[in-house]
Amino acid sequence: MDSVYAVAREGLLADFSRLTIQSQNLSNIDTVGYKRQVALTSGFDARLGELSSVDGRDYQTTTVSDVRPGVLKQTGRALDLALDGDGFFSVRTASGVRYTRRGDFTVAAGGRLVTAQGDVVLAGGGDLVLPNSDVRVDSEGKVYDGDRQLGQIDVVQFDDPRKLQYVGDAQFEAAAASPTTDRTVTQVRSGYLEASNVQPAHEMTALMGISRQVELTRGVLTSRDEMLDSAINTLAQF
Amino acid sequence: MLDSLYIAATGLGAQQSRIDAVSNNVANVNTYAYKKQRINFEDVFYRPLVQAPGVGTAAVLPQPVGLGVAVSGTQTVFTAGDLAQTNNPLDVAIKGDGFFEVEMPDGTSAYTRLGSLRLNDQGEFTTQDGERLKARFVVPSDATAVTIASTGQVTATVAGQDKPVSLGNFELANFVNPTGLTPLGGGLFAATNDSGPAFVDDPGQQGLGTLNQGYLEASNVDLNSELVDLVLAQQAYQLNSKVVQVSDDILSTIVNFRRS
Repeated sequence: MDSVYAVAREGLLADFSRLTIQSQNLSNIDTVGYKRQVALTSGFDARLGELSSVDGRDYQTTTVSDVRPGVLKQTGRALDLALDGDGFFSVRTASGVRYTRRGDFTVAAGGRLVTAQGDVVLAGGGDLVLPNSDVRVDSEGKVYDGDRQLGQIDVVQFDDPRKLQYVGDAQFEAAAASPTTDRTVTQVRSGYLEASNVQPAHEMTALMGISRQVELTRGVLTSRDEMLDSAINTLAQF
Repeated sequence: MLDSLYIAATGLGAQQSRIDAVSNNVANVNTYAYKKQRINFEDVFYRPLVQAPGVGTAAVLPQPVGLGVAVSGTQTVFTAGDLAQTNNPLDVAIKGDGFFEVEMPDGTSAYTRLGSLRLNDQGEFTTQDGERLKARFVVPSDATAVTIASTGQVTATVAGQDKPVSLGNFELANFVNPTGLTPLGGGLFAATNDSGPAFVDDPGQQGLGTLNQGYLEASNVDLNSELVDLVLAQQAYQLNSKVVQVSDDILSTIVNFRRS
């Protein structure tokens, strides 16, 4: 294939991947604990060398999570917990321990503290069983029934949270990030939830950029088309 | 077609449900014992299967793909409402946790915090809609006043007797996870597997609330936060509709790549 067409196609496929990610972010603008995904496309120079051999394969765009905290919104519900700092709650899922900042916890049958998806919230490495009465959670994640301490909800810090791998449902896998035990930096706020950190301004400007880039690509393709047209219809008249 | 169109459609649907929830809350701002509903979202996120050997190369990593947002459920928020004084002796508010147990016409139990009670023709306590309270005692027809103590004892002043007559005890029911209750409308809730079975005790025991005669619990809807929610939902709806528009523009650009 003509290399101009190949380059244009690569660009378009990258634009579509980015468009998917931007719209994913915008549709989750109100999802509690959602972390916006950022598209990473490989540099054009790096791709150019491969172009001759990549025919038939789709362009790959990778994503990283923007782990910056969202704002805390007040809900007044004792089991709505937000993290003030860059730590994570640990939860036990069917696929092992995962980490989340989504703290709209609830109580499962039997009194166990679980996430909105039903995964067990870890406290001291195990389950936390709540009594029938109202509980109180302090800023260190300690859960009290009156004056009696029932346990302390695990809050995990990571050396580099950007290395965490996003697996959906506001949950992360540790992947290459290693947990540290220092929990003093992050405080637990009961009665608050962390809003999505999607910023409409980011997403809308990116969306405009994508839209314009597709139009530019059209310009490139049209010019190339006109060149070929004159090559065939003008030069070939000799 | 572009994924973004479908993703934006999930966003539009989610915001629409949120506006529905807000409007129901706002409509019930003056409904006694109404508990606001909260709508929860989750992102829909799929991880494609690892490619079969021989298809693609090691450089092509399976990439997680987001496919929009979904409503993960509506949740009843059982924070307390303010107690409003009504001075009606048959209005009983629960200060703290707990529910009155009500017998439905089909014999099952339902639970309510709406203590706006009445007496039926037999002198039994019922809700405004006529469902009998589980507490089985009869207020004598010659009673001139009924007193309900904060711990549930019901006494009646009967004409011709110096001392008030003890009629029985109101008990309260509660659940390990009240959030798991299913709303039945009319302030009634039904127990589910999520809520666990009801446990019943006297008011003031086991973390249960106490009774306040002459009061009703106001709705726990906070208009300010509902209005903020409404504004957010509307703007988020608009943002998602913009995504549809931009996707449409891009599609039309692509369709018109080759000008005739």
